[in-house]
Amino acid sequence: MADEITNINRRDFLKNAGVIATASALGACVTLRPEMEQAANAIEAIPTTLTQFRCPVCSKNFGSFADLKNHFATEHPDAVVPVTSKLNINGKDCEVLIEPHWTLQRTLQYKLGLTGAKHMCGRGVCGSCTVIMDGRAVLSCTTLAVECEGKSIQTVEGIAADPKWKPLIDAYCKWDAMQCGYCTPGMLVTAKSLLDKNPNPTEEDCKQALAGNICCCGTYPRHPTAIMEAAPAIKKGA
Amino acid sequence: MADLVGVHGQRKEFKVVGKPNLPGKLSYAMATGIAKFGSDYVVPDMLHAKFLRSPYASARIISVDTTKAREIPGVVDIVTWEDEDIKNLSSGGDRFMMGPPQPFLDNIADQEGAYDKKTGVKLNTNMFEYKKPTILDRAPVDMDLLETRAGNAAYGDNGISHSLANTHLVITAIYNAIGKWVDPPATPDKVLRALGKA
Repeated sequence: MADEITNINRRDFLKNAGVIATASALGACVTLRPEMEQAANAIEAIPTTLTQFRCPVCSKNFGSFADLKNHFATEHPDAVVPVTSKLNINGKDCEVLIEPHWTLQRTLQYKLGLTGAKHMCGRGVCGSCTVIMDGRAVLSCTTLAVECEGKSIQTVEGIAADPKWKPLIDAYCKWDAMQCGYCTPGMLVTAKSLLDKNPNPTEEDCKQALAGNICCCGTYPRHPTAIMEAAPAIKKGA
Repeated sequence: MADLVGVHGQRKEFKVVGKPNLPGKLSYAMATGIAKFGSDYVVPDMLHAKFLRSPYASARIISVDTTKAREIPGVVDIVTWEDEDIKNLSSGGDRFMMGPPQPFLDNIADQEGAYDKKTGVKLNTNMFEYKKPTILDRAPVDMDLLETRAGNAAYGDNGISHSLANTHLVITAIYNAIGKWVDPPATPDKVLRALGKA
């Protein structure tokens, strides 16, 4: 209970701090939508330290990593021993217990509860799992989580929780740049990565940046429209 | 700007297609990654299924050796069409995964399918044996240009797969491009004739 109260207070503080910071920058108050607050909550809920070490083979829990390794040596000598990895997701440091072959996408979904990076093709073709790593849009389905130590990773939740990017999300919704919505977070992350580098993109720039993102519903023409409409507001707010 | 009004501004009379919309109920949830799809759910001790298919089209799968796969720690079970339980589940076991053909195609396109009982391989793959009517068997259809609220593409179709499925959308696209109506099937000679070039 105490933790919950602390979390709420911290969350409210962060939320208000973000709003105040943007308000002072924009000269007007930005109200986050409930979905954006949920994204902020999802980031807040990321577990930062490991308290339980669960065996992925037999589901037994252990109090320390050493105990888990001993358990593998005696019970599952042929199985791959899990590893711990320290990641920085949306500005938050966290530690995860994963198997060495786990991708960043899988780690985000299974260990950190962030479902914005979607698993679709699993082979770096469709762009649905796009995240920003050290300022570069990368495909989290073909990036091993253990490779990401010491790197700053931003997911769509981090973008959604930042009031600066609200115009982009608003424009995406206004222009219906989605149908089933499965590829949309990946598209949005790529769009953010584009706007980071080029605050005034042309339609051609948008098409080029989004070339690696595939949408089965055929929403393509809407993305450049939404990005180009949002660009001036984002530039003004930056 | 993107050509949302259709064929570079020629379709000015569109009232819905290409115009901004009120966001749908789930628009914000989908854009922010908060929306949960089936594959996003994670429960403790969740088991994962891996489907193994033949890497070769129309290959005849005689048997599947599962011994090595069973030795991997954590593997709970492996099922093939040869398992008795699966045979009972799928009315004879000749229309199931890992060997036999896709059940969807079975139901939609082909009611006359014949399968090898042992391997599940389809025996009559000739398209001429399909008993469903084709576009040529249909009575004449009057065409009307329609707009739909959900349309993302210039002609109001919902997705790429939809436009592929609907011949009339192709006809509509040709009409928008050349300004002349061509009856389906839209063959090149008909288009040339409509343009007065053949």
